[in-house]
Amino acid sequence: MVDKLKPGDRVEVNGVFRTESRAFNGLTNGVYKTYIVATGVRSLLAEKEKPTMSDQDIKNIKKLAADSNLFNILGASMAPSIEGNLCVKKSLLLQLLGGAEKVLDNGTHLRGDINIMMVGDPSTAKSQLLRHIMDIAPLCINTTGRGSSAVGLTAAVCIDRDTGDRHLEAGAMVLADRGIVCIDEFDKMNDSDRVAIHEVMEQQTVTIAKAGIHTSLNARCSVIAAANPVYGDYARDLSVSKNIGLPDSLLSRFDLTFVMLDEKDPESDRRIAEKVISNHRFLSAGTSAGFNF
Amino acid sequence: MTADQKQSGKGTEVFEKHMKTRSGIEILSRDFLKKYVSFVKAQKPPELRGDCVDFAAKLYAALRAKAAKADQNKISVPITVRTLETIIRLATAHAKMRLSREVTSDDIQLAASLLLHTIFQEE
Repeated sequence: MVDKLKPGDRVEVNGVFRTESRAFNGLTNGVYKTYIVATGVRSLLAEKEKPTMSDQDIKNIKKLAADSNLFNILGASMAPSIEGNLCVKKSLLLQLLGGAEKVLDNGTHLRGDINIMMVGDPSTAKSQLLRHIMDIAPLCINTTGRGSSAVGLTAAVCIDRDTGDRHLEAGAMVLADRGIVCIDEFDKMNDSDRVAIHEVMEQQTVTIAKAGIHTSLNARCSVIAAANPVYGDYARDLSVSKNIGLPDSLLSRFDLTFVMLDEKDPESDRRIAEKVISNHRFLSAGTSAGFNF
Repeated sequence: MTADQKQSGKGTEVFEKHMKTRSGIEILSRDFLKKYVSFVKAQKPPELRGDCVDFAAKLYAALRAKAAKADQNKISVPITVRTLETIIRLATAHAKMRLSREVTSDDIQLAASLLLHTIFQEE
């Protein structure tokens, strides 16, 4: 069982759950230490949270896949409560599906995950799109820029309370291996913390050399980040990179960078208003009536 | 899904009831979309066809040239070799979506048009 797993792996452990009482001055305090004597562990990486599919489902999927309008249908079905933004939705769909990861014979690893960045005015549905991805994606870890630190995103070395040993605690990006990490309010993140994710985004590993532990963990995740422009609102007279305000080294790691503007156009404003109001319009099924006579 | 549904061979509803976009596209139900995504992800990744390599290379060269000429203030990201990898990744994802075994030049064209939209903010 040694070295079969890495921190952040999803596993199935078979074993005996036991408790141990520690006598202190001949008295036990009623709080027991618990542990599992494992007889076997199995990695669940291959079979994580798959929905069960019936034959009819597979038939339906194949039928849909043959549709010539497939990309538009799937794109429109992403976050249907949001009007427009079809291009962003389509890209998010492609991100969900992911490209092909390749390990060449000479050991070079080619990233297959797609990273997307959305920058734009407040209230352009950026966070709503993130929410929707979280809903659809099989494995998705959500975090915000303010609420995450460098070690929290990668991995932390912790000291075990009982034994005093040091051990690794997987961070968000390691936990999201083969999944998606959503980072909201990306611009509000500390610069020093942001640097930590450079390695993850291109090399897809987290390397730790701290406190006598030297190891590298897999973090093959796609990153989707939402940020506001530097000056709060998007300044149209300034260049795009000045508005985004992130270093080029980080920006080039994002496959697609969307600039989402809040244009004041009566036609599109009306469309959005209609959509928002229609979202509020109908009672959902199962809502009970106000009065029961 | 309950065990009963599985036994009777009924799948999830494909489309959401009474929902259509402005252009008349029917919206897929959330459960079906989830199933579609996990089905696609479980398939073998498609392969890049030989003639695509040429096509992608030409596109990349054209993109570089276009970015060099264009107004630098309008370009959101610098175009590097990573951009070429992006095209390949997006094209592969699109081919996956079609449940196709190989990436065709149409996929690459589509990927490039998405990229053009984000880099130069054009349709």
